[in-house]
Amino acid sequence: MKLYLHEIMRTVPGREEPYMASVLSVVERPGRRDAPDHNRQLGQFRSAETSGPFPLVINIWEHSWRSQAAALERQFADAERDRGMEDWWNRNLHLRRGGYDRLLIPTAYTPDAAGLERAGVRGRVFLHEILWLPLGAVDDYLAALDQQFMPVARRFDWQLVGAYRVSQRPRQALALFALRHWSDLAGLLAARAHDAELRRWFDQRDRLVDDLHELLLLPGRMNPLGIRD
Amino acid sequence: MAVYIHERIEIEGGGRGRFIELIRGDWAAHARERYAVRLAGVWATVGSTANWPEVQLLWEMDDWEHFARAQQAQYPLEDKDAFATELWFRALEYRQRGTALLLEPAAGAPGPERREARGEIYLYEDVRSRPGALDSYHEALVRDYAPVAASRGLALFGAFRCALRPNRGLNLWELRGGWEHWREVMEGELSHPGAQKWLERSREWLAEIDGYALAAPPAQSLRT
Repeated sequence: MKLYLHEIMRTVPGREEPYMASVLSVVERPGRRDAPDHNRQLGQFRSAETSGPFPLVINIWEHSWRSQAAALERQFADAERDRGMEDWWNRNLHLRRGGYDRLLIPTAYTPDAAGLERAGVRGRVFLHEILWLPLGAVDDYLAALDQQFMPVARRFDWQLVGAYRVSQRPRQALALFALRHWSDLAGLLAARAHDAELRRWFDQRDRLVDDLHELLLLPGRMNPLGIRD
Repeated sequence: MAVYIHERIEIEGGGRGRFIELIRGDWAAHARERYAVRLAGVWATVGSTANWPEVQLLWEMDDWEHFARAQQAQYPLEDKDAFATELWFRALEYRQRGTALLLEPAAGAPGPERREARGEIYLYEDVRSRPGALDSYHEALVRDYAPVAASRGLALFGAFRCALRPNRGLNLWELRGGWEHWREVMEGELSHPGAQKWLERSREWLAEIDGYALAAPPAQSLRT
């Protein structure tokens, strides 16, 4: 089963792109592809100053539990100390100040990176939502997202990147949508006032969700999901 | 119906006045000329009542179509807009981070097509409703409380709902007078019968409300 390491990085303002390239270089250095802890980029994103806190970078890495455990072992065990990684870490303190990580467990309907590529899921802007729901309500919410919201959202050209549970945080869910144009976002939000299916979805969501932190994100320059004009 | 981006900007050290001057000057002029985006308000959060030093901005667009056009035309900033990129870096002298909210006028409170803050002092309220109750709250706010507030010299500058965040909204009230008026309003907060009655009724819809004062510094101000 795929697992996703999700990182919210507090980057140094104006250094978001250099930070993303720098962290990507760790994954792409020679010899890493065959390592037991190898991961691949699902996507790197940075905050637009439109909704949510800024500046931030979001890294999402595709792992398995095995590769994630190997990565942590390499980082925290004394054996096989990785001095190259230590040097990289210290060299890049001028690009980022800290972060907050989650391990994401994909829903059955969430495509992996290869599946996203095959499906042509790409965007110029991404809506990223972290939700807090009552205990026990996350599975039902994620099922409804797939069965009720996405059929309507696709009418407005919204594409699902993924919908996830969060390891060790049973009240949380995370959803990520790709939008080819800002007008895809605006079209759905404008229609919410008069489209019966959208109203039903948002009314239901308002009644169920305890809290939601949204981010509107731009793709990093080397994000395979990104469209750059 | 107009769409808004509200920004709350933490100021590093002592440059609040200079940051406001930058926003009122080149930044607002550029946003207006290039994207037809209007600066509806720029305020300092009033110390003694909340977080400081801090600046709050309210940008106004005609509707969702205008919002989409403006965003598409400017992002990524460094690829599309050299002057805004320069402004962004110039502002780093004063601010390192902020938070934005995408807003639309609340149900029952569409307000004017264009807003422009001209008052000296505003009361700001962050509201979190009980699940699904935000529209009902705002409808009652406009219908029942706005006339009471008007009798206290408070005009509803705007009541907004967060477009992407459930059950979240914000209200902005313009004080008709200056700091003496602010004193009267605040001093009567816990004793004014109409205000108290409204607060009691608000429990029906609200889970949380957090309010404080905003002030628009004088145009030539370099005061921190």
